[in-house]
Parts: sequence; structure tokens; C-alpha cells
Amino acid sequence: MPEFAVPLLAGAVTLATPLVFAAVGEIIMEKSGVLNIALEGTMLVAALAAAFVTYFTASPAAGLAAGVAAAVLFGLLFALFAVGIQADQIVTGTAMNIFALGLTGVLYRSLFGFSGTRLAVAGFQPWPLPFLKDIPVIGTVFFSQNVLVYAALVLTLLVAAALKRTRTGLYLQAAGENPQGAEVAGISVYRLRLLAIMTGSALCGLGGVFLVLVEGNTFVEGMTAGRGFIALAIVILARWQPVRALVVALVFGLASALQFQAQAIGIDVPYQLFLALPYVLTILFAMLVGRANVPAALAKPYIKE
Amino acid sequence: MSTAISLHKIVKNYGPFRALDGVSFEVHSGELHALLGQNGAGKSTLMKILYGLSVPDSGEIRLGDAVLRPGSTKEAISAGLAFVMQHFSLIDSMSVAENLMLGQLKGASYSPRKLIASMQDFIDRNAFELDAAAQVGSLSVGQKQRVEILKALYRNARFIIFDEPTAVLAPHEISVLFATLTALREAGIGIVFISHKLDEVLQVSDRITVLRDGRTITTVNTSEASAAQLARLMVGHLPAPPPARQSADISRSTPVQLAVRDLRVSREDGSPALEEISFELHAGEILGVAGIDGSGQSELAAALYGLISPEQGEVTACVPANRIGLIPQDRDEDGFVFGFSIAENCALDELDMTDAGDWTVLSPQESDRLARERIEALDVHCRGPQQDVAELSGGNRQKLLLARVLARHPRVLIAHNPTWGVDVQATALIRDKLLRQAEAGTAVLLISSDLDEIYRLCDRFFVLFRGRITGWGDRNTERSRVSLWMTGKEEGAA
Repeated sequence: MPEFAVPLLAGAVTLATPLVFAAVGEIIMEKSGVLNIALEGTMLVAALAAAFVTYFTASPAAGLAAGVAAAVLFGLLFALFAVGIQADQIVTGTAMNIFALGLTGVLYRSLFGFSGTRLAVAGFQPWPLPFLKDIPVIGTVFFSQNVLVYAALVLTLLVAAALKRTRTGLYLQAAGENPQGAEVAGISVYRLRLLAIMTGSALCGLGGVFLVLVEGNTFVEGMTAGRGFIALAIVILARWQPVRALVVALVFGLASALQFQAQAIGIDVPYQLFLALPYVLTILFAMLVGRANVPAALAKPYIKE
Repeated sequence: MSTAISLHKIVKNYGPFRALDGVSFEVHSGELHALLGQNGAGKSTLMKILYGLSVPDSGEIRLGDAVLRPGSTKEAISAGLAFVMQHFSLIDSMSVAENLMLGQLKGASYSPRKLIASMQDFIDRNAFELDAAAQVGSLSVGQKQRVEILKALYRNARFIIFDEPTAVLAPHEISVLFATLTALREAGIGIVFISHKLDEVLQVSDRITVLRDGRTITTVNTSEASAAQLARLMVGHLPAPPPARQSADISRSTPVQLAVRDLRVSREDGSPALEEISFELHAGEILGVAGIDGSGQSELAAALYGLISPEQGEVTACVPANRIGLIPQDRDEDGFVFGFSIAENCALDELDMTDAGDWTVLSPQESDRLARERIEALDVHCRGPQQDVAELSGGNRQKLLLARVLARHPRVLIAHNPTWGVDVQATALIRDKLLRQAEAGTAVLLISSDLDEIYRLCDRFFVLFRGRITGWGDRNTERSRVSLWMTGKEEGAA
């Protein structure tokens, strides 16, 4: 194995992690029939909250909690429109993305913008897992990471199992396939969709937290850079299955990692080309894969008579 | 001991429209109570209120003497109610077992394999022939209905509401259903049977409540009721007997207007929707296409009208394309632009038919005149050409659609379930128009899931099952054979 391969793969895992969080969160929401395209906004809000709280408390754990809380609150606002008054989910999601971009920008500048100093926060350090880290290649790639990467792996498996084998998972999918049918069976569609939005937003928020506490150790306006939208594409490519979403996200992570490595080993290609790679992949895949397995009632507001 | 679940003085408005006007209704355990009325009489709305799917504006729901909270399916379910809806409330992408357990799972998690085993056991104990592991989407309509009934039994329902349960079934499936209903009643379950079919109601029920225009007209014991009396109560006055078609064998001698050879059409997922379809449609005949809904009828209509291109085979029309008329099954989706007035909808056809350029000025007087012509031609009840089509009743919308199609002077007319969901008077009028068209030499293809309609109007017909023609018949063909064809029992040399 060439020597650059292991850092390349480890980098891919790091870059894939926020995508995994957002995509798995979106799967939960879409399975319940809610199309929340405000992933980008949710991640941004969580990122800013994590950056602020970590800066003032110097505790990444507190920052993480704040980021997730902010994401859930943001999700509740989305739910107020999408479930509460049965507004169009695409319009609501678009508005929330723009709102989040503006809100985080204003808040950030009002606190740090004028000093000119870059906001630097402490982050999560790598935490190699005993024994597992000693496995050749895999040990370095997967098990010498930080706690959030492990969380992404575990949560993906948990969500996959929950959708397949728990009562709530089954009911959630019923709400997304045939809401009236679910209601006839005595399931509250509103309650389930609200639950899905809160859980999904929390996961998505972890993705935003990751950007601040692992990847950047700072907050930058618009730092999500379209990752929320890539996560939306991953959901479709993965056909609404969490484990597949993990795999697809790793492919995207690899494409991003390639750009850094290519520059490092001096391949003479304009670096912008590599920067564009994940986005080109998104468009290509989206063209190749149809809409099989899409939850039948996706993006359709359920209106009780 | 017999208990009853009852509705008292229910009122429900949809905007300015009063759907239910002080309706009362009750069903006892061990009783089969039919709710009879025309489409739009308010039967389904009433039952949705009983089940908590819809909130009434006033009135009470009671179980025995206890008052139930309106608009709560949870309370309805715990009162022992179950609802078998016309368009089933099953989740197609899930297994039979998962559907049975929906809303009833005890623990927080479950093992799909164990669930299937225990549900199979439950299915077998009730002697329903179903595979618990099968995906519901792959089942036939009759089987789906049996899943719904099992769902009700699984939650120990004491009262089951059936909304037009026979509408989607083949004749012999109907007799199976009736046998099941009788068994359920014997087991002490109270049954509400919603229907607009008199003969069925007379055949299975103990009591009949007639609903008309959102009001309870009467409740009678079935043993004391007659068909003529019930029909009068249902529609207000007796509909004229349907005209009998005289001519029988004009078809072979008249020219072919539409020829279909070896047609094959696939659905989006690649499964075949139509296979090996060949027939000729002659001027002046009414050719029927019978079969249970979803046997390929929609694809046939779309292929003949040129909305989808066949994968194989050909459709040859001997008339110009603008002389082929289509009455689509989904008139609301495919026939109108909602939010447009009657006049605007009529103007759409006129623009399409003439060589008007893209920027031809629409004259309001002209489109008003066109609309008035259509309204008068088929006696459409409306406030005038400027009324939004969305405000018309189903029957009046269908009449307007037919008037628009007839205004093209079609030489080939494809009608797909033209009287579905239409009141009795409009049905009679529409059928009369179809007969007149045939007499005037139009080639009519009548696709209908109502076998009575096929027998009444068609010179000959064929039966579709899973996209194939399983039999050809005419008015003299025994219905029992047709029923078999409708479920795929093909005959060799018939």
C-alpha cells in the first residue's frame, strides 16, 4: 500500500463524518414523511452555538451540548411550520436556510467581527481506541479518530436498527408511507413527525458541531459550504438506508480528501478541480439514481380533517 | 348483552357546504347495519366522524351511555371500533405481519422474524389464507381487504365499519366477503356496511339507514324493505329505467376506426401493464372493457389516446387525432384546471382545436358563449360560466367534461369509468349520451369496472386481468364466467 494511502483514508473518514450525521438525521425525517432541506441551516446554527459556548467555557463537551440544543430548537421552528400549520416543506426549508445564514452571520459579527481576531476554540482531540487502534490500516483509519467519529458510526447502526426493529421505527415509516393509514391504526402522525424532526435535527446538529470542534476549531460564516445539500443527495443515493448513507458519505469524504492529498504530493492539476469533485459527484450520482424507495408521503403535509 | 355505538345530531360543514345536517345513526353488536345513499350523500364523512378521523361541528358520539371525545381515533379504537376504508389504510411497503401489528406493538422493539411467525399463527387460526411475510403492495385488492379485516380482528374490534367494500372486488370475491361478514356478525361484532348498491344492501343487512343530501331519511328493517321503496328514498324520485340497447351486430359491417395489434406497455418499474392486446373498434359500436380496477385499464386508455407510447405493437387510428375523445378516469386530475372557471376550462379546448395562434386574444363573450353551449347540452347545474369548476359536484363536473369532449364531434370516444362517483340522474344522462353517440356512428370504447354498465351498454366486451385479455363476451355471456375471467381464470376455447 502506498504511503499516502493511510492518511488519505483517515482524512476521508474525518471529512465524511459531518455528512454522515446530517444524512442519517435527514433519513429519520424523510422516513416520517418530512422533507427538511434546512440541513445546511441546522448545521450552521449548531456550529455557531458550539463555537460560542466552547469559547466562553473552554469545554468542548459544553459546546457540543449547546450545538445539539440549538439544532433541536431550530428543528422545532421548522416543525412549527411544516407540521404545525402544514406549510410547504420546501419553501419552509429554503427560508430557514437563508434565515440561518443571516442569523449566524449577524451574531458572529456582533461578538467577534470587529476585533479582527480569528475565533479559536478548543476541540476534541484524537482518542485512539485501545487494541482496535493496533489493527493494521483499519486501526489508523477508523479507530485513531476522535469521539465524534465513533459516535457517527455507532449512531448510524443504532438508527438503522431502530428503523427496522423498533415500534417507533415502524410507526415512523407508516407515517411517511401512508399517514392516513397510520392515523387509522391509532398512531399520531403529528407527534411522530415532530419526534422525527427533533431527533433528525439533533443528529444534523452534531454534524455542525463536528465542523467547529474537530475540523476547523473555529467558526467561519457559511462554513458548511453546501455540505447540507450534499447530505440531501447522499440520502437519495443511499435509498433511505442509514448504513448505505455511511458508505456513500465515505466516498464523498474520499473525494474531498483526494484534493488535499493531490496538492500535498504535488500532482499538477488546478486545485479547484479537486475542490469541485464532491459537488460533481453529487450531480452525477443524482442523475444516475432515480427515486426508488422514496417514502410515498414524502414532503406531503398531513392535514387532519 | 348488546351494546350500541351511536351518533347523535351530527353537523359537519365544509366551508359554506353543509355535508351533514343533524344526522343520527346507531349500530348494535351482532347487527349488520347498512348505510345507504348516493355518492356525496355524506356516508363516508359520517363514518369518519364516528371513527375520529374528522371532527364534527356539533353532535355527540356515544358508546352505550358514555360520550366519546370527537376527533380522537385513540378513543374510537379503545371503544372497539375498526374502519376498513375504501382505499385501504395499509402500508404497501411493509409486510402483512407489520401491517397487522401497526398501532398494536407491545414492546419497544421487535424481531421481524418472530413477528411474522406469530402473525402467521394468528392468520391460520382465523382461517384466512394469507402469507404473513408477503409485502402488502404485492397483494390483490381482495387480499388487501382481508388484511384489513384481520387487522380489525387482531385488535378485538367490536364494531367494524366497511366503506364501500364491494366496489373493488370481483363478483365471486364479493360472495367470499359476504360470508365473512355473516360470520363476524354471528360472532357478535356490530358491522356498518356503507354502500350505494341496493341489491347488496338488501342481501346482507339487518337494518338499513338511508342518507340523502346529508340528512337521515329513514331507518328500516331489511325484512320489511323493498328495492323500489329504498331507491325512491335514496334519490328522491325513481330514476328512469336505463335505455336498452337494440342493435347487436352492426360492428362487423362498419369500418374499423381504431385497430390495436399486439400492444405491450410497461409500468415505470418495468413490470408489464399490458401484454398481447389486440382488438378492432368499429364505427357505431360500443366495445366494453371489463375487469377489476388496476388490471391495465388506465394504461390502455392512455396508450390509445397517445399519452404513453407502447413498448411493442401498434395502435392505428383511422380518424384524425383531434377527433378522438377521452373521458379520463380521474376527471379532476386529468380533465380540468381547478381554480379556472367553467368558461376558461371550455376555452382551453377551443384553443386546442382551432388553429388559433399562441397570441390569439381570448374574447370573454366568446368563451362565455362556448361555456353556455356546453352547460345546456348536458344540463350542468351551476351558477353560470364564471363559476369555478372546483365548486361543481362530481356529477356535474363529469357532465361538463362529456359536453366538452362531445363538442369536438369525436369519431372515436374512449370513456373510462364515466359514471364512477356520479349520482343516479347524471349516470342515466351520461349513459344515454354514450348510446346516442354510438347510434350516430361514433366508435365508443367503454372501460368500466361496473359489470352492470358493461352489460347494459356494450355490444361486446373483453375482460382484462393483469394486463391481458382473459375472455371475450357479449350480453348473452353468463356472468359467472365473466367473473372468473376477471380474476385470471382463462378459458381455452370460449
